[in-house]
Amino acid sequence: MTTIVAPMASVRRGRTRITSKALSRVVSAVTADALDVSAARVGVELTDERGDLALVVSTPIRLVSLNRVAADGSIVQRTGGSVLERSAAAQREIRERVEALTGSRIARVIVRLTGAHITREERVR
Amino acid sequence: MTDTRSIYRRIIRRETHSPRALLAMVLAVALIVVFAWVGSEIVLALLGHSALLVAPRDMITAAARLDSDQNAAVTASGAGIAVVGILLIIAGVTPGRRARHTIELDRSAVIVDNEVIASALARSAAYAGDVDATNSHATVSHRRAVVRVTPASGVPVNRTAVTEAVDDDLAAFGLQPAVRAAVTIDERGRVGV
Repeated sequence: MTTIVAPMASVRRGRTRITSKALSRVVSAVTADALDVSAARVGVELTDERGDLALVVSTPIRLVSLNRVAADGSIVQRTGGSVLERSAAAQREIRERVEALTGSRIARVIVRLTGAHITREERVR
Repeated sequence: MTDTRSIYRRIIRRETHSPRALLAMVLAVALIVVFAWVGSEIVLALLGHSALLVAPRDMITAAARLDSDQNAAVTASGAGIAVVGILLIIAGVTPGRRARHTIELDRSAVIVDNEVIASALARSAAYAGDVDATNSHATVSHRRAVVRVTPASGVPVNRTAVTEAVDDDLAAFGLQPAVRAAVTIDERGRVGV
């Protein structure tokens, strides 16, 4: 004799766990994208803030050299604005993209700039 | 057909309450020894033989003089006896419930440890709240179940879903005595779980 068990109304197959390591990698990749640096140079600290995720991101930022700025002031605007403007934009971008990618709610993002990578402004190819 | 219900009732009663048999036996043996000794002393005194330890007459006069020559040893042993007496009264009066519940069934007597109920509740709470099993804890006492869920940071836990799952479980178990659940969702989450 066999017993047939009716399937549950809504079948859930389990849960997906995103480890803190995976979260850190996502955050550093997104940060690296936003500030145009290597993801390996980005440090990420994940903490909890009343059930939401709080991110502290330590990263260098890519800048054009001061000589170039002195020669042509408009280059600051062309490369995305001042350092503060760019880190504010990066903050927004990190929050939005990490939320979209991991589905985690983010309480706040702190961007800590730890250095500058100076590059020449490349010619548009 | 024999009526198994009364047998089940007795089994359930036995399994859900802690037996006082050992205590009663120890106490009975102690009393038997004491009274046997007192009886032998009385008989020996009546026959005019020398006492084993203390003659009955000396016992009574010593007991009557107890309050006149107080010393530390008497006070201490009196306090000790009082403590033993209080413990025995507590053991006699309290119900001595074990951490177990029964499940109502006609076919058999089912007795479940509270820990088993607790882990069942914790697991379904973890499932309903979509958290890792290690982040859901439950304790079950005689009439209360407390379920605590720690969310993963950034992933809020649906309290209603957890409460419903736990209540459904408890309703399905049909525990005796009935257990009411209280669900707490931790305010602080854990990262990456």
